[in-house]
Amino acid sequence: MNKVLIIEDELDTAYPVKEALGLVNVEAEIAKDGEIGLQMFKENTYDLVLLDLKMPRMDGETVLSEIRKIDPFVDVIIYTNYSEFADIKKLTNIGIDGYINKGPEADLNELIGAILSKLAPMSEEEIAKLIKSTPNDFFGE
Amino acid sequence: MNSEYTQNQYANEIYQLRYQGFVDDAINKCQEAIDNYPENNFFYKILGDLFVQKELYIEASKSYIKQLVLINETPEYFKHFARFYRLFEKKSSEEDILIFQDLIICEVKKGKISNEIINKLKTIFFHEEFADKNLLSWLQKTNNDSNLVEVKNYVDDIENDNIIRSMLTWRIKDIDNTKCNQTDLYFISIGEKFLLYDETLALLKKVHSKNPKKNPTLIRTMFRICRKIQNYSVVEELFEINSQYIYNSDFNIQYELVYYFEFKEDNELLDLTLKGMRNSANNSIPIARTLYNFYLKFNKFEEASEVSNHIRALADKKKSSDGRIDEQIESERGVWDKLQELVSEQEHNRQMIALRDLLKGFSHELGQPVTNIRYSIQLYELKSKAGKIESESVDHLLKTILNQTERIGKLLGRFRPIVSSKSENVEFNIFDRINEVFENLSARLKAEGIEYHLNGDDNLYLLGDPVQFDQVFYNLILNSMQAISDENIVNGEINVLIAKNKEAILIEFKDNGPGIPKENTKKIFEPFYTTKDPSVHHDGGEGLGLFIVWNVIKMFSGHIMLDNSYHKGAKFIISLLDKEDEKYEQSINYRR
Repeated sequence: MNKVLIIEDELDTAYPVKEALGLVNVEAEIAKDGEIGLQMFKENTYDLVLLDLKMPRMDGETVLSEIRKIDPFVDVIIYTNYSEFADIKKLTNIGIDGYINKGPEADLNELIGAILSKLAPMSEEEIAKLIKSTPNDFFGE
Repeated sequence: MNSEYTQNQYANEIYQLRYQGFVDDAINKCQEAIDNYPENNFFYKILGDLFVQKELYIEASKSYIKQLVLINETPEYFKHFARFYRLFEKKSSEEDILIFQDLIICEVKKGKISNEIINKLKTIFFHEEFADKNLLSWLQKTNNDSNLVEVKNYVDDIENDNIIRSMLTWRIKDIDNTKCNQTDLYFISIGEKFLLYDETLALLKKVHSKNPKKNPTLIRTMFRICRKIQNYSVVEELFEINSQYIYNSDFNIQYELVYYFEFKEDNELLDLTLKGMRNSANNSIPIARTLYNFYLKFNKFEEASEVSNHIRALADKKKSSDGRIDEQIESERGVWDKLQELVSEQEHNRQMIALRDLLKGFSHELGQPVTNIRYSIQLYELKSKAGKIESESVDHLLKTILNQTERIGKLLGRFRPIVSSKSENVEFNIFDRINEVFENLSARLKAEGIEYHLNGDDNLYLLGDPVQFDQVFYNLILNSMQAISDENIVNGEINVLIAKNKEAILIEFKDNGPGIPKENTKKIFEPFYTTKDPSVHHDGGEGLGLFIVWNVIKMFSGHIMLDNSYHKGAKFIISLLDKEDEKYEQSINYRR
């Protein structure tokens, strides 16, 4: 079962995301600040981390650096207000797998889609690629 | 080979079984899929995950190794393996991890794994097999201190973290067998230099446990690295860090203890450490200078100036022998004098930064409720599409939208005192206005068990907008109320005293709450600075209260400062220009 960690201090934002993920059979846990989030990340295994940038106690950038120290491969999606857009470049250097805008452009469908595309090992695109990479005589015809 | 099922059909069926909870059936189906499509790495990954679900980690590891040898053409799937490896590391004994590593290495030796994947493997664990002959010979050389000079020369030319990481890992694994204290100390310093903190700490721990004799340099290094990673669990595990520990530590460790107690927010032990350092500073100018910097850092200006005098005295003693010290002291005096100038220059910069932060904070604050509204509506749509609308869903949605719009309204309302253009300009009695604010809040104050006292000159007048003036006291009183009730203080008290001196009207506002921690005192007047839990927006909580207070006071040509020397709660001193006295000029701005 896929498991996502949502690190977000705004619970009014985090819960709809968690519920929407539930609708597509993805389990999610919420950490309401960066410190708790990092602790949970250390103690459990997650397939993907959804990370808010502006949080009390420990900001998203610090959390991201710490996560990257522990696991350079886990998928991390940042979601942020457009006002912090300039910071994205810096974060890309630390290593993120995507970002989603909050604020007036916030789109739950887009967010869930982005998460699913990272999680599902069997997306349409990948299946096509896989079948291409399979030898022609593989299906015996 | 022929199959009735396509890969996609298998994947769907396994998926269905898995989510219905039939893990064993899913495993069987997955094995069948593997029989038919043995080249598909996904089925091994899924099989591995199914074993993980059953907590059969060894089985899972075997499946994942098969996944590993199939991803040479699609290295982007290495992340699945890496994730599993991390989980396996957590769930398994050291012995099982070594076996797993050996099995992986076995495939590497068979040549079944591409170089690209091997390079990725190197980043998740170190194995001597990954080392080329050259590196291996160097690793072995680190086993003996007599090679240290040679090893140093080799390391000097290395820029690649991974090689250094391998060498550290080698040292950690090897330390039980060899005697090479100098080499280990050298690698500790190199590890720190290359920012490989986890490995360096692990090596430090091993070296420390091997040498029962306390080595202050090592301990200091341990503390320093813990400071850098902002996680002191390693030293806390090894030492009992209490007042006794402070006394028994030398200056170098005490230096790190200052940062430790700052991190722990333990002001009592922090003061104790500084006191301990004061003794060491008796005869040493460098130590005294360090201490002096610490006092400045923690806003202990009296102590700083005491130490500064002490440094001067020490320097006088040495005067004949060393002229340079004198210059240093001179320049230090200069620094004190320049401080005044700097404050105003910094003030301008601060205002620019504050304005930018204000706008950034504002759009973030506004973005939050907008996001919440959009997400709630979109969630409703998703639920509706899935046919999962519950009876309370609509109510919940509407309630969320209303709450969030109220939040926007409140946020905008908070700025009204600053942006309002229809401000009045009338003369009003200060005492009466403050008294009225207290009376308006008296029911809530009573409910919280908080007493208030308003004393002093009740015959002082100000010119300006009285409603804006009220905002200062609404905000200060509400802050005090919250601080007092958060700490469950029983006999809460707020005292306001109004007085006048030659130049200005002074208002002292103090409470007996928990006060404002030292580390926050510089930031409290900044917009959107808050220590309050953001999920509980009582009366703001978004960090605008004191920012508004500061702005309103500015409009009255006054200033407000926090009294740092007051320890029984929070104490603010507001001084307001007495309009009759034109000569008074704002000489220094207290907002820091």
